[in-house]
Amino acid sequence: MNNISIGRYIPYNSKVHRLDPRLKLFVMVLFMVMIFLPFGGSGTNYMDFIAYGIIAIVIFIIMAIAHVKLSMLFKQLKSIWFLVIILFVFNLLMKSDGKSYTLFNTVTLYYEKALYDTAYIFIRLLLMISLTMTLTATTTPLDLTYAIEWYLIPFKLIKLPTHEIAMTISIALRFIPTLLDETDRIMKAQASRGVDFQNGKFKEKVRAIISLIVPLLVSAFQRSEELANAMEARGYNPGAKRTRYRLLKWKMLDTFALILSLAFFGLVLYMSISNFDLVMQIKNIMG
Amino acid sequence: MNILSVKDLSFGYEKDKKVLKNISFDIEQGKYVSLIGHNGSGKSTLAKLIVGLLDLQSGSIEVFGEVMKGKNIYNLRQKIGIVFQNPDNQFIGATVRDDIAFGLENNCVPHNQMDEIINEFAGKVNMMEFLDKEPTRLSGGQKQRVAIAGVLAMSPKIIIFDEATAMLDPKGKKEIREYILKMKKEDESLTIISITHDIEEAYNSDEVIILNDGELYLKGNPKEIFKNETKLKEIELDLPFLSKLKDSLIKRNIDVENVKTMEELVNALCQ
Repeated sequence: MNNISIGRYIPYNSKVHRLDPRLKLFVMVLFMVMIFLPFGGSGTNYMDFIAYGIIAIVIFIIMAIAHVKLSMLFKQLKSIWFLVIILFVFNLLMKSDGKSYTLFNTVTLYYEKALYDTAYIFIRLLLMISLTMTLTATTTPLDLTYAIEWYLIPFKLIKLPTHEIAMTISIALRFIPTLLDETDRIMKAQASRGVDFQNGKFKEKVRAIISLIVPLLVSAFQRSEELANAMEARGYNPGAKRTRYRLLKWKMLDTFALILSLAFFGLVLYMSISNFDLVMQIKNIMG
Repeated sequence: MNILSVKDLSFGYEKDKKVLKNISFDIEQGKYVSLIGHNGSGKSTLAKLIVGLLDLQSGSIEVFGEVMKGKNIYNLRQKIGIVFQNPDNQFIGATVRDDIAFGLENNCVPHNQMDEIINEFAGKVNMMEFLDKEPTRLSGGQKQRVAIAGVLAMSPKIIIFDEATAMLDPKGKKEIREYILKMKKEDESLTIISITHDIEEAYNSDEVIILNDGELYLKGNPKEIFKNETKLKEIELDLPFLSKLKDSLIKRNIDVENVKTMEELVNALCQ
């Protein structure tokens, strides 16, 4: 259970770690938008990859500043290889133009387009994974919760209990490790009573899982009741006014980072809207 | 002065099954009171009623002479802290720091004062070096220490320990007991109600309340109460080691009648 590295906070005191979580969340959304923008119009294929290359370089620079190691990214990639292969096979069978190769004179495989499309999706996935990984590695779940709470403030107008939602999320996060420990304990307890979680037919496996889930749920409910008591005894009163210990502070560094990312976003947006073609431009300049 | 007075309190989770039956008692300010009794005798229910976690059905509870009722519960609750049994299920914050801050946030303590208070009370339970640790990286005893700090930070007048050491190992138990005694020493006016199965702890407290089957069975000075062997044996409660030893010694005509603590006993025997 310890090899879950996506969504894991990695303590370090880098500039990215110190940024305001609200800013980090916003910049991530900006980058997500960038990744889904079309580039170079319909005529050119290569412009997509050039634009992604530029975005990737920026993301990798951010990762370097944040001390997020590339090896972590590769670990994540292991889980998507399978998806990429399936994607390629499907594309191979579905495409109907471009360069092709005929197999046994019966099946025609349009490998060029398939390869192109698969690479296209793979790069998007890669960039998105690097982004979310960088965000979660540099921001504690709690800070992220506060950022989400901040973005939900406008919804207070329609009586959305934003603070209570944030409290719920932070408690859920707090109890993940506790419940994982509990799961481990129950599995061992059930295994000692002869439940086999690894082997057996599908039906037997389902039965084994049920023997894990039922006690886990029962204990979770007990915990939640005790927790509610503890919270209430310490003066928690949902809906009532309370002060905050953790305050989000907007710093100069955040303003600087915001301007920088907005500028980059503007540039990429311009490239997309104007169907900017880097190769043509260079050719023009060279005469 | 009576800091807490319970009058004719009855309570049942189900209609015709009373967990507490017509209980009345007073507790003076500054006393260390032990509440003992078998499982299911209503100890924890009584504690929950005192902190206002359960609604009163009949009878009344007064804290500082004020009746616990309606909106007053929120005010009176600030004067009563409670430490529960399970260390994990009362740890609310993501880190030690946040957990101590939780109660302060509820009491609307201004942000700029929080760090000072947190440091002060974390220091009192020797948790300074763990301030930024998550609960999973703490032992049960350390988590209970945090719970104590969290309760102390709200400067209550009464602290209830609802079997706070029951889930700890012997070392943790000893530690927590020491911290409780230490904070009692630092603030004489602090009233402590300890729900416990530990007869030794009860023996060393100022006052003992014994609940049996939802009824107040005995109340008074522990030295007197534990002399009443027959009454205790009636409800199958164990005697403290010291009184058992004293009894056996007296039976052998060794005069240790006036001995009050283990040390005194050792000294008396060594003479």
